[in-house]
Amino acid sequence: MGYVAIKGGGQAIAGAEQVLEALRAAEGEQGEPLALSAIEHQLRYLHGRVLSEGGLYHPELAALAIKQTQGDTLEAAFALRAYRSTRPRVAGPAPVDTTTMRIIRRISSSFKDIPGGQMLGPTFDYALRLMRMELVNEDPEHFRSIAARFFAHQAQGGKLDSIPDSFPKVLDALREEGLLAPAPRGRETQAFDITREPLIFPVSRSAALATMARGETGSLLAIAYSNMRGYGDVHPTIAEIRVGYLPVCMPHPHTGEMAEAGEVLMTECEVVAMYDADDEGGLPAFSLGYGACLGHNETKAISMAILDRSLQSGMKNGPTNPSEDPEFVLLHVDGVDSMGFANHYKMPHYVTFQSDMDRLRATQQKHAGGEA
Amino acid sequence: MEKILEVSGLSKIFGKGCAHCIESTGPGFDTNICPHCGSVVAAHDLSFDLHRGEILGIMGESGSGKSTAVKNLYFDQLPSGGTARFFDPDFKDDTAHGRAQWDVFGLNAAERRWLRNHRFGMVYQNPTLGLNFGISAGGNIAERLLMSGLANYGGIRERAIELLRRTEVLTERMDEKPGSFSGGMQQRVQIAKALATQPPLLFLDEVTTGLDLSVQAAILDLILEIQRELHTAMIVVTHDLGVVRLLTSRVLVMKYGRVIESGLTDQILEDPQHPYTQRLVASAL
Amino acid sequence: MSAYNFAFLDEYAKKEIRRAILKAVAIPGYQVPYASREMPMGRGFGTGGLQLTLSLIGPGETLKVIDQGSDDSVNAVNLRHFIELVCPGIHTTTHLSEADLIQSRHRIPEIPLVERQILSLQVPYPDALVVVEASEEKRKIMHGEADYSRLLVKLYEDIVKFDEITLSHRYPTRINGHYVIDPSPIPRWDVPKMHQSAALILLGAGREKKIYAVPPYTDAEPLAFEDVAFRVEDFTDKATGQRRTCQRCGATASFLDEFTDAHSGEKVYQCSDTDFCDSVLANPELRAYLHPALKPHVHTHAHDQEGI
Repeated sequence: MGYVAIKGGGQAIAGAEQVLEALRAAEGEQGEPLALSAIEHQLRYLHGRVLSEGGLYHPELAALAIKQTQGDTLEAAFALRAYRSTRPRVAGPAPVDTTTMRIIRRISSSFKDIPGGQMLGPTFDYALRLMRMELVNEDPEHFRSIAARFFAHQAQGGKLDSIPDSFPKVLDALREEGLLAPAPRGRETQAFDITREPLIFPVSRSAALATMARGETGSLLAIAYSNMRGYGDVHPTIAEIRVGYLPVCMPHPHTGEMAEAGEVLMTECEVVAMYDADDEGGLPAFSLGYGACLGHNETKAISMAILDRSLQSGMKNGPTNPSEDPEFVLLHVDGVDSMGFANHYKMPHYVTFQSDMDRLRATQQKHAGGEA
Repeated sequence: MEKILEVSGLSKIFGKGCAHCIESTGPGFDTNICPHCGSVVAAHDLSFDLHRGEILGIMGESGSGKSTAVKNLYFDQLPSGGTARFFDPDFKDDTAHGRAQWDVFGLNAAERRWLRNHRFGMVYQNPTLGLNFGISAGGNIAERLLMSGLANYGGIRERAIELLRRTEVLTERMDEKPGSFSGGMQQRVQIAKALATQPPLLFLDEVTTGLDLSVQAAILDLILEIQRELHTAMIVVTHDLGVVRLLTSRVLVMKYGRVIESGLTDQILEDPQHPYTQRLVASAL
Repeated sequence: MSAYNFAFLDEYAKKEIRRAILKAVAIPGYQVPYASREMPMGRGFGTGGLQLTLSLIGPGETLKVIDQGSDDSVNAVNLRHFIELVCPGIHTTTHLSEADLIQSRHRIPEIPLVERQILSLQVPYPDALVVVEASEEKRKIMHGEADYSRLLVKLYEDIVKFDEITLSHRYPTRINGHYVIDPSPIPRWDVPKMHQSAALILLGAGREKKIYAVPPYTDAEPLAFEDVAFRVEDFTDKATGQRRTCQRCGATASFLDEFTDAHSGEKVYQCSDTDFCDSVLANPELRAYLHPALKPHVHTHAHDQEGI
């Protein structure tokens, strides 16, 4: 019988930090610290994902978050989100019209061709997923010349000037023809701020969209996929996906006039779904789903648009599957909440376990006593 | 006999309804669907009184609207029009708390739930509607007793056993879930559960439909015994003339949402006036 | 990186949390929703309790942080370190008597708290009804109407099956005669301490974004049947019939941790409340100390033992 040490928690935590750092620098003499710009550019999609799940458009800090968490997307988004929560709220910005987006990619599956044309832009959609062995020992000089050669080539033939900065919305054409449902009555005039107000069900559409815009990509994808595969019946057609830089305008601190404060890279997806009979006896029309997020993340924007549609359906007619149930979707897609809770099980739970053991022993004894 | 329920002009329309719904539907038009707007006139202008200890029948074929009254009175649906007044025999002098008399269709959600949980009972044709299949038969009854404030485990258990014995359910099976019971036994558990709070008013919606004849007979006998013992007023919804004959003292005959004939059961079965009722009676086996 | 505001949270966040606390105190046991902020530690690691502490503590005040009853448990160490970092001018202590604010996970201390103290509990599941109803909207209605019959049926079914109420921690408790709360994963041993407590007890769920309270001198009654009483944990050694004692300080009536000694391989029992254990070690006359709120429950239990 000895005195059992119940001290040492602080030391253990310090030790854990040291081990993590040692692993991060495991390359030793051969190692080069990761440059933040390398993360932002060469790991563009990872970076975009963290921007959107962190809910803060700060490309440098998003890159830092990825660097310090050694690439764990959940931890990186968490770090960025925790930083965001200390930032004060500034007046504005005003809602933005995405037709002002400076576009790098824009496609529609609903029509063969669209005003402005189908612009494939940067996408892996049609790339062959073969391992590019030539990248294993990439020559740094060759790497550095790629961008310059690309732009020089683009400038030839004068095609650059013929490409417009922005394009009209495909949905506007459908709207003009009367194929889309008109804007609903009782529509919100102000976006719900999920960073300042708690969600109390039933929630507004903007609250649902804001929650999903920061949602974890995999979580949104899984639930949207369940709807696509047959648990739901959104049957979507993509009216338009556009990726590009959206200018953000804020009131000038002195003059009060709206001025462009900067631009954010974002992805927007508009989906047309099954047509719905109109409640008021008007003509049936296509229903819409909308998804948008920071960074270039089409999987997330598409999933979000499908869930937007299924949640609207669920709010109107009652949910018939999980993807239509607002509580099920909105309370389970936040990566920070879900990963936190999943990982909290590793914390000490021995008092509650002691309590469980007491109950089980008492119950076992009762049963044994009963049988005796 | 004291009045316990007074229903006046109850109507229920599914769909948006239009000015022509009433005048274009009913037995004369052979439909309850409005040809102008497609709405369904499930019931129109349904009026009746019910007295303490009385069993009233509402009879008709499917689509007649016979279930509509009880569904609305038990708050599974909300009516499109009409009023209902409930006179609670056990709170006759409780005018201070407003429990003597209720304007049934003018209540808020909390009041509706109170009446539903404490003063009314309902037995459904489909036991999954009236029972929680995730808990034991005894647990189902316990839930209702707990809602009424009983807080003694032994007392709850005793009362549940008493009710199950009364409804002739094997008390050895009270801790099993209803899923393992026969249809007839599930109905008996439902009846026991509905009676747990000793409600003065009980609704029975096609409770024996689909059961074997011998089982039906036993349950009908049980219902009569309960009425004799507890003076529970009941509304029995059925398409079966035999059930009407056995249980009810008065009956309403419905077709396409309208009451086409009403009166004493004996008289209506002996000497039906309306051609439809005559056909029904004549075709009874 | 720019400097943080005192206590990390911005003033608006603190204001919102304080208002939520006031509302919670005004409606004992009611779960007040609030826009819970992300903290630098994970959801599930005490961000709810932490936000309560950060909104309440001021320079010159003394904080104690425990987890599983111990000041030195990893999570308590981590939280305390963070709070010290962002709240310059506060004091921290392991001694309960010195503390103004106690943030705790899963335990209420063995010595009763006094009026000037506030206890802030970390909560994973704020709603006792979540075991019988998944929809928050429906649960709100059930709470509003004090309709806990489905929860009570669960207890009934437990007794039918096991002759016991098998709930161990998170025991549903009725506050001020209306709202039933989940008191957080404290063992049954700690539930009676909430009843008529001199100190304010606050409960914060960061991930679920709710704050609720058991105000001072308020009734807190664990759900039970008239004839099947609420029972606390039993530390009797079945072999000897004697109540186990703490191997370290000799306490005969405290909540004990049971574990296997890393060196000897033997089973060891020690006070879960490490500060209490230190106190008894220094003052052996405290060995038989039992929190007054527990006296009825421990005696009742002794009676049951005799009856067997």
